[in-house]
Amino acid sequence: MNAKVHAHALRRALSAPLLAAMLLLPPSAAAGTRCENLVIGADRLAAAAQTALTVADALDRRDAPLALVARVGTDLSAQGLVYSHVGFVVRDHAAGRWTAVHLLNECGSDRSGLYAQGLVNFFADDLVNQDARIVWLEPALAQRLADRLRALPQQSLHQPRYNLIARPGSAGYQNSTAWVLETLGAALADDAAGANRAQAYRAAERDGFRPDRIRIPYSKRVLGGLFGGNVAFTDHPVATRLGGDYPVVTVRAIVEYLERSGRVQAQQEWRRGRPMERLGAL
Amino acid sequence: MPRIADRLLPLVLAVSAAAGPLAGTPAFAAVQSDGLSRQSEASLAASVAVPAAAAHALSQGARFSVAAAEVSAQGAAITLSAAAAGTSIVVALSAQQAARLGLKVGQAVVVTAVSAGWLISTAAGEALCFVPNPRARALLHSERMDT
Repeated sequence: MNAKVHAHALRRALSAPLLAAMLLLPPSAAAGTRCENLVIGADRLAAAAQTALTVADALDRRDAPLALVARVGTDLSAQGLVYSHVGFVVRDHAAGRWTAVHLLNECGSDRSGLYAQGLVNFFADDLVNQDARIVWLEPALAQRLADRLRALPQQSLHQPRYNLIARPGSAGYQNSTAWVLETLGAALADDAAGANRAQAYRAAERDGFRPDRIRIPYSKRVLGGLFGGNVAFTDHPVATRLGGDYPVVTVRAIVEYLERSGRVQAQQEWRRGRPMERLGAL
Repeated sequence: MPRIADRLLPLVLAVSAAAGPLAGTPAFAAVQSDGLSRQSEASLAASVAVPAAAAHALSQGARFSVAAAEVSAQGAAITLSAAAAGTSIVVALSAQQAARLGLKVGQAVVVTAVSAGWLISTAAGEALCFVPNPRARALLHSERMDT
């Protein structure tokens, strides 16, 4: 059922108290497709809240106004990747003490929005597991980014046309990692305040960013039924589409670039709920 | 109750316009997982609506039991009450889950303290809901920016 229709039907069908009650707390079973109005399981919500507190405690222990936080929302092991999503987390944001500021795809469509969310929300979003990594940046860069993100939606560098496999530097599309990278680039640009998306991406490139490449053979592209509203192969040139190696901005590409360029001050990682002594794969 | 309903109704509609996870996207193409889950939005916002008195009762180790069960085709609203503390929590279950659990008025539920709040379960161990403690609750919010 269409989600909007679903909500309206709900509103018609239910008395207000029952509707409120139905929304009040989650049942333990969570199932369904991307656009249904179902709820997250109680155990999973508790796990997300645990991760959120762990990450918030770690953020509190360092004197930094901002960090990057990565999560595992999809099993990307087939691509050799671990983390599937990254956002900024900003201290003393108007929305809360530690607020995740990130781009999210809307309903598997070709649209996205920028969100300011609590860390529980960040770690509750139907994740594969509760592994997490914090990347603290060099202080001057972190401060510029924090100032910038607290001022959103000004100079947001947001392109609401979403593409899961957006070409790095694409003017017509953007995904969550591309937005993070361009925001980083803007903070590094000569004219940080006035940089547009293209200038921001070039600044990141000049600073050492290199995209990852993922392989999507033409046969799989067709047989796999990749015709979803949030995937636009045409963002890439014909030669790329024929070859099947697509450049993309992954969490790994962002963090490895920041490490190479000396932009990382510290990192911390949790796997299976435990802090790691040594950082694992990205 | 109507006051809570007033607060939540716009929320239902707001989350209808939001997004879902990338379920169904073939793994070889999934290089992101930045789909907003409407499930999370609805239930997380709902968690914030737990009365402060109920959260306090949980922190004091109050015993809760099923006080009412309102079932419809769309789902069930189970009222868990701590009679001694004079407070209650309403838990939403799917109609199927409610039928399977067969919760009866007067039946006790089990409250387990976890680091971020409390899990309320049936005696058989099936989790009914999670209530965040104040620290976790402060990390529960979501706002879409108007870019």
